[in-house]
Amino acid sequence: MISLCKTIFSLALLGAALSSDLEAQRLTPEATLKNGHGYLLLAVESLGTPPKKILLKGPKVFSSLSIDKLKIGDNYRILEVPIGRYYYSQVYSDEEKSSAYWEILSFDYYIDVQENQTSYAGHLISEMYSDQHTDFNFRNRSSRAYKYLKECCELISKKYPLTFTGSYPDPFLDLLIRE
Amino acid sequence: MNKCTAFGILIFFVLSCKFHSAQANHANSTVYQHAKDIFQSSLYYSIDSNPEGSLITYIERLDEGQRLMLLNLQEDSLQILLNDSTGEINHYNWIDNDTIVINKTNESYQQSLSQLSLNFIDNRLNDIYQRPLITDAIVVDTLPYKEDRVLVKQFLEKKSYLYNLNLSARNISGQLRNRYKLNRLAPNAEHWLSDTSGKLRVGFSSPRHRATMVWFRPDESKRWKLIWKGKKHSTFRPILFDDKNDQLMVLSNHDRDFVELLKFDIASQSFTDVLLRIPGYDIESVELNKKRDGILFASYTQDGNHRRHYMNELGDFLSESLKRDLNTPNIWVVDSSLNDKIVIALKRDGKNPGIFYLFDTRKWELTEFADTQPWLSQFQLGDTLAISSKSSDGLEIESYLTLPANYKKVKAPLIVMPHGGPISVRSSADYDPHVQFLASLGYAVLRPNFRGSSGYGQKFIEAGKQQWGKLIEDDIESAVREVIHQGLVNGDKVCIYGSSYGGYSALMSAIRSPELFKCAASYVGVTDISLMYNNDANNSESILKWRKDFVGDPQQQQEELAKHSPVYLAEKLQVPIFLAQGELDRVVDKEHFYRMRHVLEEHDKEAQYLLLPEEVHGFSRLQSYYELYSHLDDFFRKHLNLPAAKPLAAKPVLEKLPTAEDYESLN
Repeated sequence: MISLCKTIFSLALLGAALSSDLEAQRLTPEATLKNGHGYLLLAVESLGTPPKKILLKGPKVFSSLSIDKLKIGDNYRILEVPIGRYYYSQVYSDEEKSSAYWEILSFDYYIDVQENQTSYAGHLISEMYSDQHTDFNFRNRSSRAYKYLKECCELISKKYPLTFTGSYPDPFLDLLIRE
Repeated sequence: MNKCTAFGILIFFVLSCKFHSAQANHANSTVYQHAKDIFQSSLYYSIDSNPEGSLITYIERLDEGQRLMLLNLQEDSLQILLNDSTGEINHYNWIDNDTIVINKTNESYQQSLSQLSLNFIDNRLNDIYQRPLITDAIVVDTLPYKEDRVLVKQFLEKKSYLYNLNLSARNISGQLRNRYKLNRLAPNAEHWLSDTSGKLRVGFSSPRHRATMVWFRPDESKRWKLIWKGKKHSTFRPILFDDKNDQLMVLSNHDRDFVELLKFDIASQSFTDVLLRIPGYDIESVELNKKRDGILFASYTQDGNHRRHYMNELGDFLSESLKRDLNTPNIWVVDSSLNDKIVIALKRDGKNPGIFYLFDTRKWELTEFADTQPWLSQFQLGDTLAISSKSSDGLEIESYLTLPANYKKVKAPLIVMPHGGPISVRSSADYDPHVQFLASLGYAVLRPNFRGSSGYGQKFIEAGKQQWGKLIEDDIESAVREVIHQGLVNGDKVCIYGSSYGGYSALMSAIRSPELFKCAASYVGVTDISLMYNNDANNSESILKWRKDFVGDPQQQQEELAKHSPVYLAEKLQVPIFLAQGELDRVVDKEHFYRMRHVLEEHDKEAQYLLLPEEVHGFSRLQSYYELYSHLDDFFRKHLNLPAAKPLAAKPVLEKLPTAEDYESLN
């Protein structure tokens, strides 16, 4: 009986986790955002071998995100997510032989998603040339992010303007939005 | 295929042919070829002697890779010691008369040390034995009093460890066990000083923008003790112990404006004597003698020229004799064999990247050994003079003006070249290929040492605080107006170009003084000051704190920083702009370039752009020099209304120098 309860509880947890992830990653450019939600603009520049997958840790227990199918160069994803702080946590290598991953949670690369905004805090720069020569950085390239958003999703960019949520203010993005 | 498609393909083909032909023409242009001559690397470097002065080694650069050469003075023979087709050798050290330790970096940027043992029969090199020693390591001390021993430092993830390796032992890995780590129980210092037996006595750390910490241990049975914790931004660099091991020689500007060589008493933790003071100048570095028990010379920069104050009788006597005999103030004793039999001297100045001489003190014989860039003698390079100007607030600014060889016939157009940094960096009048490339094409080049530059004392550095786009640019302008006032250059033909802070300064100067500059060029330049704070996620708190102090705080001074950032002032630009960037730059991210390009396009300003796809902050590939400088010359010529480029030639190309193939070879 106890074991059945455990199984049901585990399945319920798994279901909740999956549904939370699915909800977080739904891209609904024309929909109105739900209360307490915002758009998260994720940007990854991949140099060398693209990562297989990148994980982000969300503000709640089941609000983790993952992005995959990354290519060399710039990669963008727009995700509707509950507001709060999202940390880049793990980068998985594309090596078939191993399931190597890099723990980057301690690097403190995060995005604060704000309600009714499209939040951006920087490009994650992934340099994976070899096991010895792998590096990650986080840099503000808001002019590139703005250009991408304007070109791909004008509706979102108008209704939920791009906002920079990095550690220091970025007056240039305000200038772009004013133009 | 319909007619439209065929026409489209034809147009594409014609355009593509035109593009390739333009590219080919560019690479074949006189200026591109000239850049190749000026920027190619030295042919010879890392010249050294074995301890007894019987063998000379050097690295010779080849078209592909390089090789380590051995000149046997007893046999008068030259041989190839090691072929290095991938150019992995960075440096090497003689450990004893027949052992060399080589430092290599592979393509994955991993450093390693390997041992080269030379076997001689009747003074002739008979055999070479090579073995790997240790990875991720460098040589710290060659321990000249201990045969076959070398002090190495291995970099592990969080700490570096030192080992006293016995190179005559068969087993090296056994010597790397935990118990042999010399600093196993020591503080986490970056640098170390050992006594003559190789025992660590002093450890010190001087992290960027943080206080220096120095630890001392009187002998191996005692604990490490903190003997110095410096103020931020002040220098305290331990150099050497005195004979009794109770006093340290240090370079410091503690409680004084300039860096001096001082004696520091370890017991009382106080300065007891000034060993060397150069009035009005910082001492930049000191070089130990080969025995590592005394100082050979202290270096400083005077009127832009590197100067060395010898603290060793033989070095002083020989340098003075060589200056007199070769009729130049710019020849220096830079190294010697352990027994002082062979002395290595270097002649180098603003027009010459270096000629090495060997002096045999037993035979009293001087030989010109290696001209590092012999091909330069086919061009007329420029002489450099020091200029003094008064800035807007009366501060005296020293600058260096390099004039082209034809300056007496034609008043030269001027390229102003502010240095990067801007804090604690400086220009000098020493050989600089960037400057001589322009001078050999007929430009005068002005390099101001504005406030904040190093070498002029701590107060001068502090004066550069939060002066981006303000007094620093006033200093630069004062130098430009001074050389125009003195009639040394053509004041109607002035452009400004720089990289990093120099690129920022070029853009800001053009915005501030359009009447003075006809054009401005920025390479890897900062264009938005606030962006520097969001682009360095790996920066430590101390670096950010330093930046807020020296540049400004974007949270408190956002408006002020925007008022001095080119991207917010682009509308005011009245002169053409050249903007170049390395795509892989980690210091000034390419976002600076994108932002500036966006605003220039938005305001419909005349501008030219160049993105170098594989380039970093500076130059990592020779190709980039050729590319950037040939485009820059085009840009300057167009906007200064100058005739087509023609390098100022001196005489026909030199005959080919003898190479190792002309001698016997082991391989």
